[in-house]
Parts: sequence; C-alpha cells; structure tokens
Amino acid sequence: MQGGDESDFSDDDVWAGDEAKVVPAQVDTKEQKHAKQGYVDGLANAKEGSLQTGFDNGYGQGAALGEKAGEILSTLRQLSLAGNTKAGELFETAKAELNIQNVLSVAYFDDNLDLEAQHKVIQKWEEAVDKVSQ
Amino acid sequence: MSAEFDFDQILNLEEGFYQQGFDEGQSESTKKQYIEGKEFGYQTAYQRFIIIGYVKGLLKTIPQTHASLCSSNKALSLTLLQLTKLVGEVRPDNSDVSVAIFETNIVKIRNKCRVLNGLLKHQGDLVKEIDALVGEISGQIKTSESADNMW
Repeated sequence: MQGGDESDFSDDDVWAGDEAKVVPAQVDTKEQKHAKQGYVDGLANAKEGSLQTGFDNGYGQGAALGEKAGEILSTLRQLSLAGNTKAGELFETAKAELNIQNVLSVAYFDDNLDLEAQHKVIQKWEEAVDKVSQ
Repeated sequence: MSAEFDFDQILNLEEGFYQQGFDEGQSESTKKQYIEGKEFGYQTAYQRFIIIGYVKGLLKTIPQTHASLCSSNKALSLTLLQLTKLVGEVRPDNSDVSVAIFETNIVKIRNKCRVLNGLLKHQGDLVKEIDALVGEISGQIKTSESADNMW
C-alpha cells in the first residue's frame, strides 16, 4: 500500500489503516507474555530423573579418575618406602596435583562435563610413575 | 463463524507461545539438573575410588618391593590374593547391586589391609595412612559447596 492515499480509508471505520501496524505489536506482546510464562513454568518442571541420570553418568567417570589417582599415589608411596627417593619427592607433588579440586577443574572437561580425551593430570602422573618404576 | 474462527486461532497461538516457552524452560532446567547431578557423581565416586586404586597400587608394587617375603610367606600371598579378589569385584557404577558390593567389600578390604600391615611389618598404620591420604586428596565436599573454578 502506498502511504498518504486517503481514499484507502473509510471515515466510518476509525481503525482503518491502523490494523497493519497494531496487530503485529499485539502478537509480539502476547508472544512475549505467554512464552515468558511458559518458560517460568518449564524451569520449575525439569524432567524427572535428570539429576539421578547425571549423577550415574558422572559416577562412572569419577570412579575411573579416583581409581587411577589412588593407584598413582600408592605406587609412588610404596616405591618411596622401598628406598626410591625420587618416588618420595614425586609423591608429595602428586598429592597436591591429584587433589580433587585440581583433577575436577572445569578446565579439563567440556560443557557436558565429559573428558575430551584422557585427563591431562592423570596422564602426566601415569607417565611419571612408569618412568620412576623402571 | 469468522469471529469464532479468529478466537480459536488466537487461543492456539497463545498456547503455542506458552508451549514454546515451556519447552525451552524445561530443557534448560533439565540440563542444569543433569549437570548438577553429574558434578556430584564425579565428586562422590572420585572420593570413593581412591582407596580402590590405592589397594590396586599396593597389589602391583608389593610383589616387587617385597619379592622374597611374597615367595616365602604364604599368609602374605593369600592376603594379596584375597585383596585382589575383593577389589576385582568392585564395579565403577552406581547401580544398587554395585553399591552394595562396594559397601561390603570396602569393609573387608580395610580389614585385609590391617592384616597386610602386620605381615609387611609396615611402620605405622596402613589403614590410617590411606584414610588420611583420601581425606587430604578429596576432602569432604558438600553438594552445595562449589569453588569458583570447580564444579
């Protein structure tokens, strides 16, 4: 429609000519209002079992990491007790680096908390144990 | 007729907007809960399985560091065999059966470590050492506790 042509509007209809501008604005407002209410209700209705599913998935991966950390520390400790001084020094450093806060740092995981490859700290210490055991 | 049709259309439109928002909100909160659960799963299992790994480390190194004792002391060989069986039975998952096995075996593993302590004439208390190490490495993290750079 070309603007400014008064012949398009009827004097009897006070809304004539305004419809095209008003309706989209109303729809936008309604969309926002209902979508917002739906979003709020949706936030309060997380699918049942998601917390447990997450826990179960994390548990398996955490167990693998914890087990590896324990084995690294144990090996270094036993070698140290057997007189391997290098293993004794490494044991102290390993204790700090294999601390849960360091191993489970977000830096080593993707957005879904999965490891992209092998855990860098664990890998480093497994290699160190192999070396000092030889 | 046309007025009724328009009314239904508007209602459908409103429901559509609501459902779209609901799905988005539900998806976000579901993912958030999943991640929270996963964080706690990682932490719990990490704490629990350090001891399993530690014992596996003992089983790997003791035959090397105490080679002659292992070949001459039957009680030691038997204890190591029993420990191997006990840690081998533990499964790294959170099913009811696996958790029950873990709870039962961890008590037996601790007892076998006490026996091992005596057989190896280990200076100090091996079980206390392991407990102290587990505490030092994994601490006692609460679910609500979250450091900035940790989950």
